[in-house]
Amino acid sequence: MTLRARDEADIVDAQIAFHLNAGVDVVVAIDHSSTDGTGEILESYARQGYLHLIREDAVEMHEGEWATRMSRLAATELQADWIIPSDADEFWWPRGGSLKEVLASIPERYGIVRALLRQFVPRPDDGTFFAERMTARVATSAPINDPTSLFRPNLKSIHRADPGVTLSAGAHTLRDTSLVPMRGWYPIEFLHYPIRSYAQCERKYRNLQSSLGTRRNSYYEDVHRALEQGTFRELYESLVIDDEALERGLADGSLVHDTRLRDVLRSLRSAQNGGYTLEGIGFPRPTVVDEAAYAVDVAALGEADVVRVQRRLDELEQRVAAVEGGLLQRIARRFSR
Amino acid sequence: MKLVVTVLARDEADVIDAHVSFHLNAGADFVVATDNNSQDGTTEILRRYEREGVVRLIQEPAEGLRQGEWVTRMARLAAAELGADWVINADADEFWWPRGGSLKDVLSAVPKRYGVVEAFWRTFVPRPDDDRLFAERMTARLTQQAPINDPSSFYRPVTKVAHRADAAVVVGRGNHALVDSALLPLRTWHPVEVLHFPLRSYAQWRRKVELQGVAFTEHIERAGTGYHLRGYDALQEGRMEEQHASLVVDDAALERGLAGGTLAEDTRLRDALRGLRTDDGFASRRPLTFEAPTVADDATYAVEAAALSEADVVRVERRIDALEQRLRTLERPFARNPSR
Repeated sequence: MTLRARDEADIVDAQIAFHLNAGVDVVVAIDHSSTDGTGEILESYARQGYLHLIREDAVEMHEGEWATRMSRLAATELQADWIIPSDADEFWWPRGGSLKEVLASIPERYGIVRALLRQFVPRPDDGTFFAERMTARVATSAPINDPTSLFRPNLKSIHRADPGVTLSAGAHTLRDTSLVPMRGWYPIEFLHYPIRSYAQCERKYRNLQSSLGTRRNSYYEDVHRALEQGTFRELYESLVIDDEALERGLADGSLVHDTRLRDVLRSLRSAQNGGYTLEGIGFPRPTVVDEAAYAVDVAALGEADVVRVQRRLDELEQRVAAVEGGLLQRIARRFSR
Repeated sequence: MKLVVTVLARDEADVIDAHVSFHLNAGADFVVATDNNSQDGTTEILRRYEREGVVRLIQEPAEGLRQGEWVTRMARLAAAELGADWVINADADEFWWPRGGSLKDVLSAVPKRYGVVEAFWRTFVPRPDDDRLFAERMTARLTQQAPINDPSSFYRPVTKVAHRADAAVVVGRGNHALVDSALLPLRTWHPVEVLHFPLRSYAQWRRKVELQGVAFTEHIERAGTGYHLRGYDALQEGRMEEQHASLVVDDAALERGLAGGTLAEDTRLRDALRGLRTDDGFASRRPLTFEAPTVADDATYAVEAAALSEADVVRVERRIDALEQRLRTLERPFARNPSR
């Protein structure tokens, strides 16, 4: 697993412990100018031999570039077979056994497995651990069409190790790759906890103000404005789902109660020192009933889209024509010599 | 109009009697059966029907589960020697259910220009085994509100084909399609459902995995598909009971599935087979009547069958992915614009 972290001390220990228990062998991490103790947590895992730590002090964040660097390093120096490009607020949940077991069962012809986003909504902060409070997520069937919304259905790619790999700007997909994606099925979910408390949220967005540079969409423009105008507290409050909104969401099906991460992290807590144990997690293998319900969730992504198939075929036809044209040119050149 | 059902069986004694009886009473005139080295009484059951003159029995001693070849032989025999008009290539764990009338009525209604009908595979989930007949226990079926596109799942939405008899036909592996056939498939209308009971008891599952495992490791060059391999791995590692248990839908999961709408209670086969029971097995001539579906039934069915098209789109996408990769390797040397 590769990991990019900046000031994530409230979550990064749990994140790394979870994945080492879930089947990840080693973590490659970039610590981007953390000042909140994140660096020390990463170092302690590095000292135990579980983590390869890289420090990055650039002002701007280059997510894709850094994810690419870490992924290549995992492929070349660490002899990885599969790589999960992660952020500190993402928990990769295998549908069966462990991450290793799920990835080992992927047919060889596929080099990319896409994971389904499970977006957990911010809940009022009473000072307790995020996973104890954040047990509601957005249902995939909730109609969110705003492309800049944090909560729209989304996928992120896990890939077979490849020394020449290049990840996209947001590290969600691969660029110009010969790896073939497995389409239409997502055997891993990633549970995402982007906004956990006011302090964490404000720090995150202040950091992003400088590190995003000019790459802001309308959502980040709003955030930027709120920070400038001192109205960030209101913006944050508008994102938090209070008890009443939670009840409404659960009743109308736009939110789903999901305590999986909370329960696993509880089970990993060591009784002696309050840290996390590394004894491994046995993830439940979904029954056909679970898989059928998951299929309904997956269908909400609209992957089975005939119009897109036609567009892809149009593009293929053009590319074949270009290859044919190039071939004809070569032959013509040969004869004109 | 003459309808012949073909069936390939190896150790299917828990289901083959019901299978043959059901199809003879659902509109088939005759059954051609290939018995591949059965050891469990399957042969004797088929012999009984053969003596009645309703089954033609072929003994196939070869190993290697050459399904396509043996099914093709039966399909051709039905056309060339038995004067069949339509042929259904069934597996022993399948029950071809006409949506109204009989199998014969439904296939007779297909316009001349179409030669292939795609039947909708309806998989029933495994339930705990209490030694009763499978159909008495297995009364929950996947509704397929959305396709399970997991390439290693045996719950992917698929169709099976019935075809107009053709003495030169080649039936593809798994009876999902004909190979290089001039017969035109009728798409998107699925007037026949295939009620499918692949996993009925621990003993039956274990035997199936053993047989397929031997076939794939010793006789067949290609690798098995995901669920074959998972089963075979479990068998070799001595985890067969655990693996079987993980597939069975217990009462709690059943309740969840029914409540969530991913499973439906479906007692059609159970009820039909109850009517066909005799003292020592099942009746060969006691014709069943199949009620025509109501508009509401048809609407539900159309929604479920839509999963077939969605799954097909995903399959097409996967083929395009593979083509794109092949094209990439061609583009490097030949592209006009080398920067691509």
